[in-house]
Amino acid sequence: MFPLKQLPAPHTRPHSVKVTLYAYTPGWQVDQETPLMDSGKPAIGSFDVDSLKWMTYLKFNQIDFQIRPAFEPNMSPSGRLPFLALSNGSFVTADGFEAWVQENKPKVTTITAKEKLDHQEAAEALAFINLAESKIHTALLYTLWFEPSHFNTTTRQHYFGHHVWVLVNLLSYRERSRISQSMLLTRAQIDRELIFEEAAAAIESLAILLGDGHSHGHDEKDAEDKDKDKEFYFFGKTSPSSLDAVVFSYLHVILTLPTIRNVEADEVDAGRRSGELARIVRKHDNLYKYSQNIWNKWFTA
Amino acid sequence: MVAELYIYGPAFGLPSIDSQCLAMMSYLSIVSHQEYTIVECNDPGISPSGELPMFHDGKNWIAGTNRIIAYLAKTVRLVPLAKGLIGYNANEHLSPENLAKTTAYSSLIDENLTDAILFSWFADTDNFLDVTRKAYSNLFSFPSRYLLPLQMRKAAVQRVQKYGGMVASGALIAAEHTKIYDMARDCYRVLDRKLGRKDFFFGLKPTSLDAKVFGYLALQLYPDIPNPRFQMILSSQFPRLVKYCNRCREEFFANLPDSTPPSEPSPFFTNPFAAPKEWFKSTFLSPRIVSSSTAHSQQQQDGEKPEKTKEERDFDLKRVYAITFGVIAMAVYVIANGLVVIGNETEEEEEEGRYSRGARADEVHVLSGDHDD
Repeated sequence: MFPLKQLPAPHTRPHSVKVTLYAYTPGWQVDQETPLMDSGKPAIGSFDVDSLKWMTYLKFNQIDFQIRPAFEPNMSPSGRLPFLALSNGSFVTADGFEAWVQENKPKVTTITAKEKLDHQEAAEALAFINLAESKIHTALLYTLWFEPSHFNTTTRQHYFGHHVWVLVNLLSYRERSRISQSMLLTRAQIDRELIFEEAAAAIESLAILLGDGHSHGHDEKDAEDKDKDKEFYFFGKTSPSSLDAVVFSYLHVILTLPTIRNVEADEVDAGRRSGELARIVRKHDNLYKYSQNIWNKWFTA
Repeated sequence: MVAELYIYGPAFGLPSIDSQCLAMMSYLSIVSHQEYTIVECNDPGISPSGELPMFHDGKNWIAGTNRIIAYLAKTVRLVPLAKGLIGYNANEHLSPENLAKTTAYSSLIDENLTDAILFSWFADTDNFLDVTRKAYSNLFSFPSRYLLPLQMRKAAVQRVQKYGGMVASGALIAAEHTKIYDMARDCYRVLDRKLGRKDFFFGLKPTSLDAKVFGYLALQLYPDIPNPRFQMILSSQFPRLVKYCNRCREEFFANLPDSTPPSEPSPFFTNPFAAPKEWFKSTFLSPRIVSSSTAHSQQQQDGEKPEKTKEERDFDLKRVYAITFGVIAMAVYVIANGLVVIGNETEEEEEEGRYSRGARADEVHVLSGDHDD
């Protein structure tokens, strides 16, 4: 019998024509220390790895979409950002994202069989995606949430800066304890040395897999010298795969992390410790150039 | 000295119940490390990082499979046939690219196959009640035998919750649409493709990746459990992996060393509740052995005692202050509340004394009277 009478909604939001990605955006603070960004252009990309992963994956698959900045995870049906709002009023969350993209990507793209990953390579790509999403992810989370110099300045401001300061403190500490609990599910203790050891091994493995085939021609327009860009992506392909999307997202977020300069006198180590992950990546020249290439080609073009 | 490998004890007809321990034993068999014994300790509390297996070679204690493998590669030994000194390294013939792949595949199975094992052993109620709890109970000693399996189940269920389902009173419910089987199938497929028609993952010789893969797959393939769904997936869809596991089992576990009690107690913390036997041994028995040296050597030790640093002296001073303050505060409290009375009340005491003395005298008198009768 209830409800007695159902009134029509007074206002329904018009659905946008384009697919809309709600994600944390834009990237970290633009300053002179982050050479991947030109300070004149509007900030694009994201400081959140998952958001950047989605953007990259959508761009790689040539899906037309618009980005709406969002900072409230609870607005998503799954409780996690990012998510996609489709023009027919339904939503795509992390569960069905990849399947949706594979269904909806334009069929006209002429990808030859040679450019696609074969069975062996697809299996290998899965292993390396898992490597990045477990080892590098943990080290990045540690850097963002457990290094006080990052946590107190950048992380907190970027994720919760839109709230009043009381909520910023409360929510950021709650999020941090949630992250530490999720880390402790898979490891006996949060051991900084071990986490960075594993991350360094993972990054080195990725650098070896990528090879150094494209150490030249990174600053020229890709339309002009196609043969120089042959080994642009993993497995020597000319078109990107999901492994490229994942690896690029991690590299980009790590490399554009703001460096902490003005630390207090009693925390001599803090500045060095907060930049450790970026230093590990920069040791591998090919990874640095690879990340720069993708950023220039897909995001700033 | 003979090296020791600390592991979880045997179960399901396999030498250990833990995949990492199985992997480590396989690895030692691959590098044909002859001089080691196995210690079944079942208490991860004795390890510095809280994990088993742990390796002890007389000088160093190393915990965790990856660290032990890295340590063994650096350990040199004399091989009569080979020229010069080489380490215990099964990966030395691999190219950098293959080493990178080893890292990636190890990470994949560490994450995904651990989750699969935890799911089938703990999240499935039949499996847990019939098999897993019994297997773990046999390993632990009295009080923890009833507590630890339940704790492990709680942790395991929380870990596999991300694949779907809900946690209610320590068990996983509503897990019909769990994605863990798809995940495991993907993982098996990756391994199957990598293996191909080769004997081992990187050709004819087994490497550290073979040890790890076998460690995990063995625990999914061989235990006899009520709901063997992962076992069914493996044997129906990936017969090549099953054959591979059988081959590895024959090759790696052909001649394992016997298990022995530990030669010296772990210098790290042991939990009195989780493992009372080990704890008792390491706290009460072993220091006696150390301190039963002669008085002469003790004097020598006293003479050799190094100068205390400023912090240590400060600390000693503070300790003295704290104890003195505590004693004084206690005395003041006792006197102020009249628990003990000092002086000026001797009269009452004397009266009581006299009364009691008199009473006793009477008693004696009566008693003696009785005697006379």
